[in-house]
Amino acid sequence: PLYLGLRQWAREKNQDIPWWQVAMMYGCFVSFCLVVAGGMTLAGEYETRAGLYFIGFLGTAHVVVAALMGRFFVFQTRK
Amino acid sequence: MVEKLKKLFALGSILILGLAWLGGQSRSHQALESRIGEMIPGLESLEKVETGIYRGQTRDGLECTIALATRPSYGGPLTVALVVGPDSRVVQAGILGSTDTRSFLQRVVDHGILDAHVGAALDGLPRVDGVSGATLSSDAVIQGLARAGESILGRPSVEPSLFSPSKSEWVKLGGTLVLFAWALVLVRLKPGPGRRWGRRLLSLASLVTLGFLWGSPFSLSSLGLILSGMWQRGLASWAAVLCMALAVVLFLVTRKNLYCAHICPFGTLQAGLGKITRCPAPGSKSWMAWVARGTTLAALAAALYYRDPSLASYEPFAMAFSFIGSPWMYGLTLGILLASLLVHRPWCKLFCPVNAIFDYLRFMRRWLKNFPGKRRNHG
Repeated sequence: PLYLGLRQWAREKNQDIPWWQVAMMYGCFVSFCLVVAGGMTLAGEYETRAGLYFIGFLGTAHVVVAALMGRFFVFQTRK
Repeated sequence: MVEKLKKLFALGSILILGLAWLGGQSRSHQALESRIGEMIPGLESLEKVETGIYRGQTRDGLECTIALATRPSYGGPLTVALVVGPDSRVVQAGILGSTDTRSFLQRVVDHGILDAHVGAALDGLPRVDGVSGATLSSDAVIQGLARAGESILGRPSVEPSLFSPSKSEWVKLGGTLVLFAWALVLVRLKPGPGRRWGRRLLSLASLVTLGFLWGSPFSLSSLGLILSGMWQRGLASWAAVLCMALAVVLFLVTRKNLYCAHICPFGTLQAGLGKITRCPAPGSKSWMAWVARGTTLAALAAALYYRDPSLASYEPFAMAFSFIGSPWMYGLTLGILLASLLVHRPWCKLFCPVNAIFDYLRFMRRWLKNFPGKRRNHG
C-alpha cells in the first residue's frame, strides 16, 4: 500500500519521479524500519538505553536523509 | 510601562546575581568540610593541620590524613581529596568539587581512575591513563591526586601558572581568533555573492572546528566561570572564554550579534537542517524572549550560589558535537534537531541563553546611551 500510495500521489500531482529515486525513498523507509527493529531488539535484551540511543541517533539521520530526498526528488520536481 | 518593567528586571538581575554570589561565598567554606565527611564513612572528627591537609578520626578509631589538591580542568578548578591511612596507603580517593559537566566527570569515575589509587602506597601512586573524550578532566584528577600525595609526604611542587596552554590549546585559541577576525571582515564587505559565500564558509568552518573538533563554543557556564571568579585558579582550556570575550567585544564594536549570526556551530547546524526543508522562522513573540531570559537568570544564579558553573550549562552543545551528556540532554538534542526541520533555529528562538545575554547587553547599552544626564549634555 505504501508503494501504491506514493505512485498514485505522484500521478495526481503530475510528477514524474524516476524509478531509482522512488527506490531510494523506499530503501530509506525500509532502513528506518530496520533501525527501529534493531533498537527494539536491544531493548528486549535488557539494553533499553542502548536501544533508545540506537533509534534516536540513526533514526534522526534517516529523517534528515528522507527530508533531503523529499526536497530534491519530490518537491524540486514540481518546479 | 513595559519599558519601566524591563529596566526593573535589568537592575533586579544584577541584584539577584550579586546576592547569589555572596551566598555562594559563605556556602562554599562549609560545603568543603561536609563533602570530606561524606567521603569517609563514620568520620567523627576533622581537624585542619595546614592549608590543604586535614587529620581525621573515625568512630572505629582509624586515624587518617586527608590531603586536598586543586588543578585546572576544562571548566575551571577541580578539587580532589586523597585519604591516607596510618600505614601510608591510600584508603579513599575522590573528587570534592569540580566545575566540569557531570557527564565528563562520570566518564572519569567509570574509567576507574579513582579506584586505581585505592590501596596504593603513598610514595608509589599508580600511573593511570587519561580518558579519551574527557582528557582535560581526567588529567586534572590524576595530577591532583599526585599533588595531594606529595603534599602529605612534604614534597614541594610547582603550582601551575594561571595561563599555560598546551600546543593544541594554542591552536584552538589561534583558530578562534581567526574565525572572529573573518566575521569582522565580512561585516565590512558590501552585500553580494562574496559576502554571502564568505558567511557560508565561515559558518561551515566554525561548525567543523569550534563544534566537532574542539568542542569549545561558549555557553552560559563560561559566563558563570567568569562571574564567580573561579577562572583565577586556572583553566585547562581558555578557548570557550576567549570565544565569549571576542563575541562580546565584536558586539560592542559593531553593534551586531555576529557570533549568533555567523559563528555559533549549533546555530549553523540548525540553520543547515532548516535549509533542507526551507522552513520559515517562527513569529517573534515576547514570551519566547522572556522564557529564555528567565531560564538564563535562574541558571546563572544557581551557578554562582553553588559555585558550579556547570549547573548553568543546559545547552545541548556537548551532546550534539561530542555525544556526551545525560539521557535527558540526548532527548532534548534530538528534539531540537528534528524541530530544526520544521522551524528555523528553534533553540536560538526559544531557549538559547547566549541570545538572552546579548539582548541584555543591547538593552543596557541603549539605556545608558539615552540616560537623562547624557541627553542634556548632547542637547
